[in-house]
Amino acid sequence: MGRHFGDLAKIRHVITYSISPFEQRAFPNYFSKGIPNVWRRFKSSVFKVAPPMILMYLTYTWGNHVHEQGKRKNPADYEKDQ
Amino acid sequence: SGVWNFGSLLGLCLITQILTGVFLGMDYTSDISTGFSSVTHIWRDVNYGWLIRNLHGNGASFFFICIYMDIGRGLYYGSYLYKETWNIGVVLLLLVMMTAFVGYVVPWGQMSFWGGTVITNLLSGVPYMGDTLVQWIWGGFSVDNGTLTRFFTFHFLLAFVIGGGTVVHLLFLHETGSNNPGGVNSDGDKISFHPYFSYKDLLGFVIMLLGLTSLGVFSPNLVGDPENFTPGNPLVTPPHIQPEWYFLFGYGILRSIPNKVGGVLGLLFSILVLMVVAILHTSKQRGLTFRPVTQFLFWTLVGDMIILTWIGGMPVEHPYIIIGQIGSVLYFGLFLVLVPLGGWVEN
Repeated sequence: MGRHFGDLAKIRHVITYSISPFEQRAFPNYFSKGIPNVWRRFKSSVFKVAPPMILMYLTYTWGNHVHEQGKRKNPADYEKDQ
Repeated sequence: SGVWNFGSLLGLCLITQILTGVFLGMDYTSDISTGFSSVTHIWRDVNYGWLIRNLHGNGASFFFICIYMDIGRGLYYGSYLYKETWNIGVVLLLLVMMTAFVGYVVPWGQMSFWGGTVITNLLSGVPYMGDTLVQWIWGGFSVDNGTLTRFFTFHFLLAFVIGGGTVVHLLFLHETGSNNPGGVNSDGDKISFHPYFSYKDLLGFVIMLLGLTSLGVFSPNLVGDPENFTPGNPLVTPPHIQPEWYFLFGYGILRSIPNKVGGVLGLLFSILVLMVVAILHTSKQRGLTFRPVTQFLFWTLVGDMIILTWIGGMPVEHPYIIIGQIGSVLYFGLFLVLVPLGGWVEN
């Protein structure tokens, strides 16, 4: 039942090369390329993630503000009092 | 990527809940005269009872964090196209929600009693046999001893039904293998479970257990309701009856519709809408990785669910009412109209 190794897919003309872990650095360019890459990934997603989150935050603060205002007395309601 | 860890994390959550639950069950008594005090006894007298109860209550929150993340991953990367696995997953979500609901009644605090009363009363909306149905579930004419004893039984039983459902869920998943962030066929690119996924899952377990124990020992009541420190009293109604945080978005949708049956249907369909997502998939691409329009809509859904969660915990007053109604329309609009439209536009 299910898939089995040896029976998953037939792939031809694919050549893979690899180098020994003892012949390479473990974390090459971790900061020099890593930090610019984080910036690149941030730039590519910020305008899709941030606007809904900002809208959500503004709705939250506006909603709470209006609710608080509604609990306060309105001076205009008492202008004609003796 | 890391978001594929939530499946195994859900398995860990289930085992944690069952283990802690079994130990709690050894000292808990499901009678209204002793239920609340047996929980107090566990907390104060049973060796490490406070820790076991802590882990069980907060473990439920982590269960829902993991299940919402798992569903989110499924929506984002189009994993729902594995239809059998996905639909059994929706059934599992419903089972977990039912288990959590009856489980919350068990400690018999004020919120246990009143939350149980509100939600069981929703069944009276069923035409013709609604009232009979409610009394049948209650085992009486109100939420009382009969309700507590059977809810404890259901809570214990449903946990194992979830276990069985999990096996079927995995059975179907193993027919196809997992999806991946590229949404491409990976039959020709497999690696062994051990050591790659064994260690990856283990790291996920360590991080989640760290989060659970941190919440449990540093801030155990952060997501709880203080009303549940008061024994359940049918003569005193709390001013703000609300469920735990993981149900608040549904509660927000329920209260947004000014009609009992309509609200119940809204709540039901807020979960069942997940079952039509695969049918409404219009894009030629599986996931959202290369689909900026639908990505924006996905994050709008996330923001909308957070808004609905907030609204579900607020009193039914202006402007929370209109915000909840707009949020509810947006929720269904995203699933049924906007996301399919986005896929069609991107094509």
